[in-house]
Amino acid sequence: MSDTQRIEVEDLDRVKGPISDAISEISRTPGVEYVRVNLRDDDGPTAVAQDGSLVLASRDFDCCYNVESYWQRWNGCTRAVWR
Amino acid sequence: MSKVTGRDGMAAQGQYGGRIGAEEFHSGKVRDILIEAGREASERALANGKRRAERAKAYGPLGQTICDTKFAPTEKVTAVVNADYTQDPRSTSLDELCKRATAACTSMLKVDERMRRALVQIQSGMNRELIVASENGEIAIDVDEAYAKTQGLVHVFALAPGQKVAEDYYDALGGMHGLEVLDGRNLYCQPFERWAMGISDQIAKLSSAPMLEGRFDNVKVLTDGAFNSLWTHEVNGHPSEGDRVKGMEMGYAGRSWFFRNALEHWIGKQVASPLLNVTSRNDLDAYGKFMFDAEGTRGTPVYHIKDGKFVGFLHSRWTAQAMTDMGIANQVPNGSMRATNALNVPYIRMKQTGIEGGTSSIAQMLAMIDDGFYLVGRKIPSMSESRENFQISPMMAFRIQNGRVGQMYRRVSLMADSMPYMMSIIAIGNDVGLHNIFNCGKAQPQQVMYLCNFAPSMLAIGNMIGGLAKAA
Repeated sequence: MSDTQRIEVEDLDRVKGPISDAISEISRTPGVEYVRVNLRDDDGPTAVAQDGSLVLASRDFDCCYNVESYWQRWNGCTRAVWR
Repeated sequence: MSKVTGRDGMAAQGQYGGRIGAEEFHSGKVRDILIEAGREASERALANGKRRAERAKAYGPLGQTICDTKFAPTEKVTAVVNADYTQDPRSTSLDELCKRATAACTSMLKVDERMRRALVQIQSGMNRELIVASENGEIAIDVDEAYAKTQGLVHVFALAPGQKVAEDYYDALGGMHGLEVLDGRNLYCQPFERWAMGISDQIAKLSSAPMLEGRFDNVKVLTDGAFNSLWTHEVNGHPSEGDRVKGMEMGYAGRSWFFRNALEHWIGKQVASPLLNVTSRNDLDAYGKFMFDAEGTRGTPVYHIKDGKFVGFLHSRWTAQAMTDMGIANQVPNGSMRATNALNVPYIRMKQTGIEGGTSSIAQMLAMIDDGFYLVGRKIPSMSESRENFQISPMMAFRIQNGRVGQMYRRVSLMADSMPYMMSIIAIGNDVGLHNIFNCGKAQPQQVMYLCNFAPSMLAIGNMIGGLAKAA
């Protein structure tokens, strides 16, 4: 992967719209009352030396997400769900 | 599409997380990835609610303890929080970082001939998280929070001539900023290299110290701020976490000695000397500084112990509502829901928990000790399940006789039951210091969290255990 392809923290500006779109889409499911999306990007270098010698040098990039959906109480009625 | 019909369910939540690669990100697939994750999360929520309802019926009277998940309300918020740094972690040269780590490690080994091994880890990073949440179809939370973090960690081993047991110690210097943290913008106000060599020098000297022999019950023990930061982390901070209180961590991190059930608890009751005040906050310039938690709730200060009485917990939206529903008053979300990264399920974590300063000086507290100990630094905590008793090791200990500092010992521990120890507090120092903790672990799978504890010196009565323990 070239440096130009990696995800920079500034790139997160570009997904604010898609996150809101996704939340709207998920929220349309009958019964879903609350949706939360966390999307986080981490960039940075790490160096480890032991007994005077370098043992690890890395530049890590990580972008990950978590979606929480809260389904309200439903009683005996028919609910359409995905799949 | 399929349909789920004719069964009662309870309100519940479900979560789904994953990683996004550059190719997926730049090709515009984020929306679809999140929608698919939302479908998985919704199905998990539905299955969770269905299974709860089934268990509630199957368990008879015990089933009444199974109930809907409800969230306490929080403020609607739209906010952008920028990272605070002068040297951008992303533009830091990896080569430069490698040279710095190697040079520091080499210098540490040369500090003293008793030094046997040294390890240095330096890392600097930039983190940015978007937290967006809807309630009833409308966006209620829209948070964009970024922070930098830089840390230099050392682990040293020293062995003195004639000693059979080496002394080892690890600690970290860090801050929520860029590489300037290593140049002095840190809690120690000194460059990383000088701090690291100071640690090496201290541990080399300590490796020649004898181990304490035997145990000393009910002695006066003066503990410094670094030790007390670890002590309050373990004995006050962890049992103040709302998920432990609710039993959600029963099989993992444990429960809370402050709360047995809705009828038997210490809320509003004396658990410590009136001198003790313990609080959590999130605004100090140290690890654990953030404005919004993973639910988008603004971090707010909370007292755990006020004038010796237990008064409050760390809460998420769910634990605050659940305890309110148990009839416990004044439970509100205070921005304590965090995850190591967005891939993990967030749960309740300490942020900046500590002991407020008192009025006594070290000299005044030493003068109160006829025969006791002075514990300096922090090393290893060993805790009971609900934190109702503890054994915690300092970096080193000194014997105190007639108010004077005497022999230095290594590998000693302070052991006590939590509440009697807290009730025995004689004096609290006026020397509050901040102490970062970079390795607070909790839950399964383990999430390691960076946070800060703060504490002054403190004089109380406990039991000292030597590394060469013999029956008293």
